[in-house]
Amino acid sequence: MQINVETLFQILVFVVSRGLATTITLTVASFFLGLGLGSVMAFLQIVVGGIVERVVDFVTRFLRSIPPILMLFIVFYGLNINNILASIIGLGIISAAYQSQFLRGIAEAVSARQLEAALSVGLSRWEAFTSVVVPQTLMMSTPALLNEFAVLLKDSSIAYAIGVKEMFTVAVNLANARMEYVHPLIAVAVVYLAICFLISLLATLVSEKLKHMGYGVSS
Amino acid sequence: MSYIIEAHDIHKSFGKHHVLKGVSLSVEEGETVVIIGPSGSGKSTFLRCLNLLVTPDRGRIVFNGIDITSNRNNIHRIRQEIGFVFQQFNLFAHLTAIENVMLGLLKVKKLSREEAVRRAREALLSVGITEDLWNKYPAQLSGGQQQRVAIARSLAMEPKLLLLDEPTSALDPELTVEVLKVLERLSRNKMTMIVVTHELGFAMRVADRVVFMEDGRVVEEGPPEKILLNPDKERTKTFISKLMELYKMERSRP
Repeated sequence: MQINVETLFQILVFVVSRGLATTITLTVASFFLGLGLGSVMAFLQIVVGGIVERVVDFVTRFLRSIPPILMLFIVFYGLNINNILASIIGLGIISAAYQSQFLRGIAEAVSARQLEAALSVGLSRWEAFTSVVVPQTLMMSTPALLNEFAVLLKDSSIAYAIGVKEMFTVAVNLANARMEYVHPLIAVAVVYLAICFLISLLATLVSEKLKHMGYGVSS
Repeated sequence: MSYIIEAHDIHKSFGKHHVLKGVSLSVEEGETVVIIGPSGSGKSTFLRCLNLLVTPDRGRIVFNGIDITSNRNNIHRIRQEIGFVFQQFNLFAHLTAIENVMLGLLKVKKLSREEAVRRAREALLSVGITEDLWNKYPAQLSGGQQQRVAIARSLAMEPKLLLLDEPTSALDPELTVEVLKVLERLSRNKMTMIVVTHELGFAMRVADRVVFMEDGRVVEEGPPEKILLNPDKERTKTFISKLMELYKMERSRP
């Protein structure tokens, strides 16, 4: 097996130019769908509670138990919609289950420290939630949200299975045409690796910064 | 005689743990009451019952002539008149010192921004937080500074009553002094206060009345000279002498 750096570079440029935009579209759209749905789910669990909390809890367990590729097939063939939209919805609702879990956990930790103080100032529960709990939860969630973004970036490659021309599909199609897999696979791996590495670096910087700002400590 | 707050026969259990077993306390306007007692005696729970951060199982709390235990609907509007200062300061971590003070002024009192800034500055200066600290976040302040900002946050709401739950317990001795000085001045200016603390010196100098609590009950109460130097009950004597011993040990530490 011989690796030609020049070929590798050319393939890398090809894969990025043809596939990265779609990969980013899938990732960003499913991330925000997951954040939106996940926030609503977390909100229902914290604020409404009771039977609603248990229903949402069941839904998150259910969603986390489905392989992402199966979810994509269910949405794609079940709803009979275009493959990009199906990928965004499929990835987004699974992501919502995970995002709701850590948003809820962090919001509860914030409430434990700050709710009494907010109520003592004279804020209502709703005001305390919107002006104290939500902003702090979002700030403290940033590292976890970045991590979730990286997970979605990688998971978006399964859209290959329903024919979305994202980065991984472009690489595999090229490999099939060349009848040579090593260079395209390495090239696409390098792109995923580079982006995920940057995100994880950013997440570390953010959590250092948060620690410095006094989040996560008991005061 | 006008009481600003009256608690009648307050009971509270957490699960099987009967924390408050019928505590009654009435505080007059302008009075400073210090509550002492061993940990686990229910002091903090009782204090939290007074502004309904904790809902009593039984008993009545009358604040400023209103029975707040049966009028829970507007409790958050009533709470602005009852300041609460926490052991761990509990400043809002995402807001600067001045924004911490302004939040209640803007959201609860619905003041204009300019008016809120003016009142917040006034409150911060009154506890010795100078301009260079106004735009710092809680994590950038010392414990003593954080606690003074927390006191300013309560004072800015112009409360009729200030509740303080071990306000100096989380502070180093040298930072304790700066907070106690603020409280001492508030007491002289006739702010009505109920302070849970282990600072006997403070209680002696500042309190109009000392209440000794143990095991969910008020054991004994009276003027500080009596409770701290010459209590009637054996239990009070034992507790005070233990606390004194602890002080001597701390003082003699190299």
